[in-house]
Amino acid sequence: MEYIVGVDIGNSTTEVAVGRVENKNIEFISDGIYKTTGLKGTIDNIEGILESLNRALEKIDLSYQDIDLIRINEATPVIGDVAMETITETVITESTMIGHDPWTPGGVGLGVGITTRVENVEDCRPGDDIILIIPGEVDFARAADIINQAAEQGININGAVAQKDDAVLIVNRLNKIIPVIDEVKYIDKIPLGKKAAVEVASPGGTIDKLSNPYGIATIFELDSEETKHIFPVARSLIGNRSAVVIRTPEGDVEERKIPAGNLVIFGDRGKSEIGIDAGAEEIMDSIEKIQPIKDVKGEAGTNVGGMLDRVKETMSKVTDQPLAEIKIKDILAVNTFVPKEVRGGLAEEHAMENAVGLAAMVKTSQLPMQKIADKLKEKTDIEVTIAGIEANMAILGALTTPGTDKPFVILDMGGGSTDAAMVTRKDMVYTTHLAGAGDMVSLLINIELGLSDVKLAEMIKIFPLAKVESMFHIRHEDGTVNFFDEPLPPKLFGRVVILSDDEMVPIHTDHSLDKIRQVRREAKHDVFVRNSERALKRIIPTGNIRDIDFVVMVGGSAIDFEIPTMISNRLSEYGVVAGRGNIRGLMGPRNAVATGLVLSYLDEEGSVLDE
Amino acid sequence: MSSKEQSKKPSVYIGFDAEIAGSDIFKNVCYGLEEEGIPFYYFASEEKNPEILAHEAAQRSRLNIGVGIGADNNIVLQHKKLDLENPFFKKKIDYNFQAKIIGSNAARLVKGIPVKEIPLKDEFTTGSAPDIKFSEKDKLEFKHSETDLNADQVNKYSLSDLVLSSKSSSSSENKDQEINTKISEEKNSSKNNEKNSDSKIDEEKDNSEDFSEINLDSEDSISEKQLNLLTDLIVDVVKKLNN
Repeated sequence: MEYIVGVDIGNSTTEVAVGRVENKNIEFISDGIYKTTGLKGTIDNIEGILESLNRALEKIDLSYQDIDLIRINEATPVIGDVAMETITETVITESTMIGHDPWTPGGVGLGVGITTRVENVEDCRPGDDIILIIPGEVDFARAADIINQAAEQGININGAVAQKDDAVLIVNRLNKIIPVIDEVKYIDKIPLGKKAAVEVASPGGTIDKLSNPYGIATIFELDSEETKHIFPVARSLIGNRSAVVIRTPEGDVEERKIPAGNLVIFGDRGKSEIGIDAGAEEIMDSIEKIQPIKDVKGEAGTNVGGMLDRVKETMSKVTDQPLAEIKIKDILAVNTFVPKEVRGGLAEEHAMENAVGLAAMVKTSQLPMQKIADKLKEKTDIEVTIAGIEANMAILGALTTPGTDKPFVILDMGGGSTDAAMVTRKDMVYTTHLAGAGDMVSLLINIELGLSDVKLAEMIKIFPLAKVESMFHIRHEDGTVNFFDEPLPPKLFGRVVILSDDEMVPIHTDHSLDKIRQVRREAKHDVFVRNSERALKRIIPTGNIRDIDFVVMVGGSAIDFEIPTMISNRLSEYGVVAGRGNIRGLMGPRNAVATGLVLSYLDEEGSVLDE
Repeated sequence: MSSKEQSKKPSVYIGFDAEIAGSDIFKNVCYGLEEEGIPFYYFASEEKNPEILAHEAAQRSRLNIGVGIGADNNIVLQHKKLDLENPFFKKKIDYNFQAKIIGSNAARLVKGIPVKEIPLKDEFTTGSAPDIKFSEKDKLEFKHSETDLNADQVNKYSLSDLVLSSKSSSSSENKDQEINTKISEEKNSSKNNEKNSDSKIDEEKDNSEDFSEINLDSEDSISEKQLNLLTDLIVDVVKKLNN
């Protein structure tokens, strides 16, 4: 009787399987999992391996002395990295607009007049049309009083802009209702003595004059050329409940394209150069055209260049290989939007800028696995061997999923890369490695929702959402309601929360549950569904997805509550049976490689595959 | 608009310690609710414990939300279904603007949107904002308050609607209706007082930097005698209610 341990070091987790071998029969008795310490393929991994191993051994009450052999995999030398590049920028010159949407604007309607500060109203003459600017130090009652008095004198105050959250209070004290916008933070920056328009929509509605370019043109008497210029203003105000537009002679809002650098893709069939600002579709098109890729370079001195160099440098350090030998083998580009504060804005308004998210995948000839093996032996005093190629091991492990048979494909969806392997009836194995996986999804969620908190983005990726609708109940994404005996904490009230295993985590943004859900699902679709199709097209010898029957999804991202179903849905269009793996009928999509390592012990060199 | 109709309207209730009637804190809570557009009622009580006040207010509110303003600037935000000792929110207020945020949070509870954090500093009324000349301001506001009384919009929320409770024989179910009958009586009897106290309210607003700057002794405000009269009236009525 022998005890054999299989150890799989992945990009994000290190997994262990323990098997007992008796009379050529293998019985799996324990498993362990721990996060990978350090970068995959480095000496730092030892800590994670030991933690994972200890967990597995604890369950069955064995110690290092009882173990006969540890088998670690020849890890695929693949490392992924992600980055984001903004390609447009909205700039307000001379403050022409306040695309501002406070919670509680006051009054209703459209008001047009000359911007005038509260203290200068006395200088106005009867008949003047005015938009009143009310700084924070002026109390709402006094502001209302001034407006009422001015009205008595025949001065037309047609609208107002307030700094504090006072709009409703002011309007409630007026004899004649005018539109008032509040919470304008940088009120001192509003140009005075200029023509301005204030619009507040009726409750439940959205503004229609200032969000229409011709509406603005009518108010400010613009010619066709000028109307073209203010179009971005109108566009950015669509959907707002309130807005202010101020026209200054030089004023302008423009959307600029930022030169984001070029990508140079080298393939067997030549090279192709493409600008990042062309967008994700074009980048992916040229990648697929030029397949297989030898290397990708970024234009020196640009952000893209910097990002690609960083990936290569990391890889070169890990593997102790010269930088020149590190090649980028795949790139996944995804179009996204980034909320950016508008330069020159007055109320911290944001504009959604176009951006491109990039995942890159680097491959080297070899990772220094021998070093890890030696170190592990030294620490545990157990014999350690490096066994088999990762893809073969994963196939062996995945085949333990009930209901599968050759020929089939495994999709290993991890954190850094999406790997695919196909085994044919004649046991030929094809593999491919693609850039883009779980980390890319987190990045997309993080930037598109403007969270600047990767941990939170990661939680949004992993767990479902709910809305706290009262102190005692939440509504799930699908509309079902859950009641609680104890009141929920006040900080959760009215918020969208993440339903993690043990607690509800509030998301402190104004995004609705639907918006967050949509961003999450789009990010997963853009990365995983697209990658699964890309992967299948590459590894299937005929290039036709219909030629395979089974796709088994394994790896950390296959645990996700919606990614496997999204891929299943897509692949069912090709008549493929696709689903989340269930290793050994009980492990779910985890532990495939570790299981394969133990199984392959009976026939060295992974020759189990030959019947 | 008759007061009877009003009390049937769903609204947030504010219960306050009778001694702080017309204080800045109380008014700012009202302003917060008004800015969010949620109707509210208030009643004075001899009770000084804000938790009990808030609980009482929440029980009476058809929107299930009550605010209690007790002694020493303590404010409690309460929901009908929450325990007396475990209110939704409790805070001792340092500045008036915080009371306004609590008011708008009460409204947000009704609306079901996230409540605001209570900042320690009001960026608009402390620090960089220039000082306002008080004499001039007082004058302006005094004028304003008179126009205010005539304006329908504001009357809705002014002291004339003060929900003072009534009649010794009241059973709890009929409380609300009785309150209304009582109000109309009181409206007439104390109109004068209320007018004065109303002007006091407007004059006292803002100036969150210093509580002592504007107080009940200020020249333009209600006389001490009048104030006592009003307080007595309130206390009296509350007593009756409690019986």
